[in-house]
Amino acid sequence: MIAFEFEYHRPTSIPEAVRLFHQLDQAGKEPQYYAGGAELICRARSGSLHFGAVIDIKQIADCTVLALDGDQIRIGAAIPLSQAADANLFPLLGQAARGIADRTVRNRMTIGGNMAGSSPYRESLLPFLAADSRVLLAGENGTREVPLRAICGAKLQLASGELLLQVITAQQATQLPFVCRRRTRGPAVDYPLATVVLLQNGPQTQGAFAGISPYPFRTDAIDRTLSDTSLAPGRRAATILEQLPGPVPDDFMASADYRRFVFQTLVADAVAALEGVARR
Amino acid sequence: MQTVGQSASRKEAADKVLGVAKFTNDYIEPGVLHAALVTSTQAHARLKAIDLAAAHQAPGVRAIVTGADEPTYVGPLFADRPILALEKVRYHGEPIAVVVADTRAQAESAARLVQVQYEPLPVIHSPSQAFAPGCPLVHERMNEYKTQVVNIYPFFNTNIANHTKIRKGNLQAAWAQCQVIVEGAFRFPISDHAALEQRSVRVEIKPDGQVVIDSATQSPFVIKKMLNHFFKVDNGKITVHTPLVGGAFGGKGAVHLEFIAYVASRAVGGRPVKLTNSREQDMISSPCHVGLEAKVKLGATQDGKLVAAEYTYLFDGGAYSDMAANISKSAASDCTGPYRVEHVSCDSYCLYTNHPFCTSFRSFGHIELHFPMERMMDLLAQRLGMDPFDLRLKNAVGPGDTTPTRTILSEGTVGNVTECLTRLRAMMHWEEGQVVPAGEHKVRAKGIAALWKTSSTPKNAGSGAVLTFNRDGSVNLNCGVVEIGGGTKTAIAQIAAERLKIGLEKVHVVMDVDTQSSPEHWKTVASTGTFMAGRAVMNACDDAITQLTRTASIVLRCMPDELEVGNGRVFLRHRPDIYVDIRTIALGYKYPNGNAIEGQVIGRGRYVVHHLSPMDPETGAGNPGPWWTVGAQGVEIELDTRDYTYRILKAYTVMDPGRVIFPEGAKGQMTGGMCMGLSFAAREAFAFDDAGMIQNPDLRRYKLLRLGEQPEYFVDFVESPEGDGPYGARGLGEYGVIGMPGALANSLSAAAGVALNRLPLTPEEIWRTVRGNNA
Repeated sequence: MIAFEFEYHRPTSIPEAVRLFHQLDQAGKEPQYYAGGAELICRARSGSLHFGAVIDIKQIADCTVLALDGDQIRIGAAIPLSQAADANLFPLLGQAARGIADRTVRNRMTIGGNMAGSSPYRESLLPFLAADSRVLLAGENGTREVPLRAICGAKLQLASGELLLQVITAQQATQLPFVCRRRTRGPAVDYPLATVVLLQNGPQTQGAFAGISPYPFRTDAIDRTLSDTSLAPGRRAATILEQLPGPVPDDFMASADYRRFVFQTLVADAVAALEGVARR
Repeated sequence: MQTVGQSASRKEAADKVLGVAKFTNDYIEPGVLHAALVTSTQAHARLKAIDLAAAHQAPGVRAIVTGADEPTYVGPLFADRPILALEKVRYHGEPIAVVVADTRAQAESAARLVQVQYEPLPVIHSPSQAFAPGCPLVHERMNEYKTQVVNIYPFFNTNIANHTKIRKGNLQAAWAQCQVIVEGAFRFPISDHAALEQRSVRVEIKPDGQVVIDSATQSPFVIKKMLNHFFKVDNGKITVHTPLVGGAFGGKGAVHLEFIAYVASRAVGGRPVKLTNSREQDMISSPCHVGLEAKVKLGATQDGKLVAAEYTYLFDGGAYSDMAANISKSAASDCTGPYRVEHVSCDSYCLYTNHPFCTSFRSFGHIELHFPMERMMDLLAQRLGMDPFDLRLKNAVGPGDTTPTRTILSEGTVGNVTECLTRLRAMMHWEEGQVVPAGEHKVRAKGIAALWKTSSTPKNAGSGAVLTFNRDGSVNLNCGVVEIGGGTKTAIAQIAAERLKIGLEKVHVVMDVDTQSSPEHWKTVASTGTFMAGRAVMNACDDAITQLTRTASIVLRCMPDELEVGNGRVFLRHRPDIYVDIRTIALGYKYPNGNAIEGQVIGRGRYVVHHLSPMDPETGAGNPGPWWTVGAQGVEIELDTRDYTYRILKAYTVMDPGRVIFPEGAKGQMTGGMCMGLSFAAREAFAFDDAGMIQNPDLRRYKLLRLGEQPEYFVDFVESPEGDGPYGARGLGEYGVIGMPGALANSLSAAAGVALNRLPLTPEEIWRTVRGNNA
């Protein structure tokens, strides 16, 4: 159970939500935006997170959009992973999302919560990173739209109280050939030792990765290696292993050297598979 | 009419399926106070200070109890555990204090406000480290602890909580007769029981001193005994009530939260206090499953006859000995597995470490001992160039052979190992070959294990049953067995129906246990529920039949011995048309003129195990248990030889439980056991960091086999009747787990071409072993 008391707020508009956040913050209530609660509940139970108020964003229409809008696909932050996957507007997203947790949890866990959460894996980011998606953010000074990659680091770089509203992806990018592979230490439902997402955009292979680094990432250098068809898939995988942006995790789930072994095999397979898919 | 051997719907099935069944924490009661534990965030540390000031100020808090307030050491074998940490903590998650408040949320909030200051001590990470000379001690003052039973041998000023010795034959001379000798070292870490229902207890002390306890336990009568022994509460003033239990697997045999809730209730003037584990606390604060480091050496003749066997077991019992000390003894007593070995030596130690403390786990030392032994049998077969089945069949134990404790086995006390192996060989199509290619980078492989187990109960473990009648001729059956999910209450109802020759629907089982009204049953553990309670039920039925025939003999004007009971009647054996309905005599017979005779029938039944004897401290000679159920199990896997991921395709069990009372229930027990054994072997283990902190104390990170990952299951039974079992039945409940780790490791070792001697069998473990071999 969550042993501490907290306030529950349910705004219906973006300005109201942002205003509430700042009011509650100033009142020392340590507010949190909330939609599914998968992370908030787990962390509050375990004692690693405390909040005096939650702001439920599910009544804000912009956060629950899931539609093709002109030539762009808009996915609201409050959309549960299973709903996003089932809608199949972005098949790569569907496949990546189905790798996360199990169906029951995905029915609650949202796109926004997964992307902006504190987990080192956040695999729902990968399809959007690979597809050059943009994000719509709301803050005290109104909304802004920025490339996802611009705010993607160890955590999603949001200003205090800034709310992730939507992820926007060019429809063209969602129709590109792709491969999504993930490997756990064994169980079907588990955190990934490595997840590899590849998208073939003309001559360019765009890759995004999780598990092999302390946070999900996409880098230009690795994209160049992925796209270098003069190298065999195995060579490209070996090169990428030397281009990782952070240390390879070494923990109770797997040693760093085993993770490297898994990652290299996974990347080589994914590159070879993508060439097969792209050729069709 | 035959009931035994037929499948039936479980007696509690409708309640469970419809969600009406109630477990301990489901009872909601106004006025009950709630307790929360403050647990250790260090694995080994001196307690310098515990600051309760902020917690006392928190809303709703009624009392806080620490170890210093209640400095009582408890334990079923060796009283080495303070009910709340005293002077120091010995494992991550150890209860330090209990907070009692009006609501659970208030109790948990306040518990987080308790400030504990620690002075870290060196952490003992493994049983081999604990065993090494000069290792720091987990318990500095063992000499002050009290031994509770015979046959436990702690060594003061060491980390050894128990040492059991087996010396059979002449091992040193025997090695000379061996043409082939193989040796191996094996290891697995401690793990969890992971029962669906978390442990939960409610304690109330009434104004007149009556202590009323509700507990999710396998041992309601042991709780009474322990509370009496350690807290001097009159045994007759303690009542323990146990409703349905949602899985136990040995983990609910230990008395743990009950002591804490008792002192918590005492601190608030006896008001009812409820204490329910969170999942995380259930995993690490309450007792776990032992770990093991083992060394085994086997010697055989060139034609594969086992001659000599030597075992060293270092059990990781964690911070307190609880039942782990007895597990180390039990493993020693059956160390050879179901094989005939003339010369045997075993040194089995239970070690203290800074891990969560350990208690019984399904099969009590046998899943543990069979993993190394069954791996060794495959290594020996490989060395001899023999088929793994042939080697096992050649050495299969049978009537006339002796166990490591020199018990002479007879037709009536041991199952048929040979028949189990023979049927398993056919069932899993062994003739197809042990390893076959299955496409690019893939191989399929099979592995097997044979198994046996006796139940090392106390020498006077007993059971009882009371049978009363209703006016429709149906019966109420009350006994002290807890329904922990195994279907025992249905099996004993079947035995009553069979004995009374009535329909199963006429037997109403009292599902809950109430120690004030249910006759004592030792504990619902050790696969002894159906065996012991079954015998007591048969005895109660016979007693009822004696009373029924006596009343009927008056009514029917004949001798009681001319009468028989069946189909709801008592009738003359040679003239079945002369009879009286049971419903007209079960509550006393009334003549047409209103006169009455005899009164109600109350069947009383009892059973106690017999002819068991303690093991000799120097040689292990003795008779540890009443029977040896045996079996053979197999696994088929598909391994990816490039990345070492694998799928478990099939799992097989052929078991000889003497007689199957409840076939669908028995099959379910075997299937569930295989699932649990495979889950343990493939992935279950607590992971510790360098400071002894558990890295995966929740089910997101501690992984179990999930629905959808299970193999296809195959189950068959051999029935060679047990001499004194109810309708020939032996124990069965635990056995499905026993051979699985060995069978899985044997299949994966064959597939990967390396010796996999450590659990869990993760793809990384296989990769590391292969890489180590290639290096």
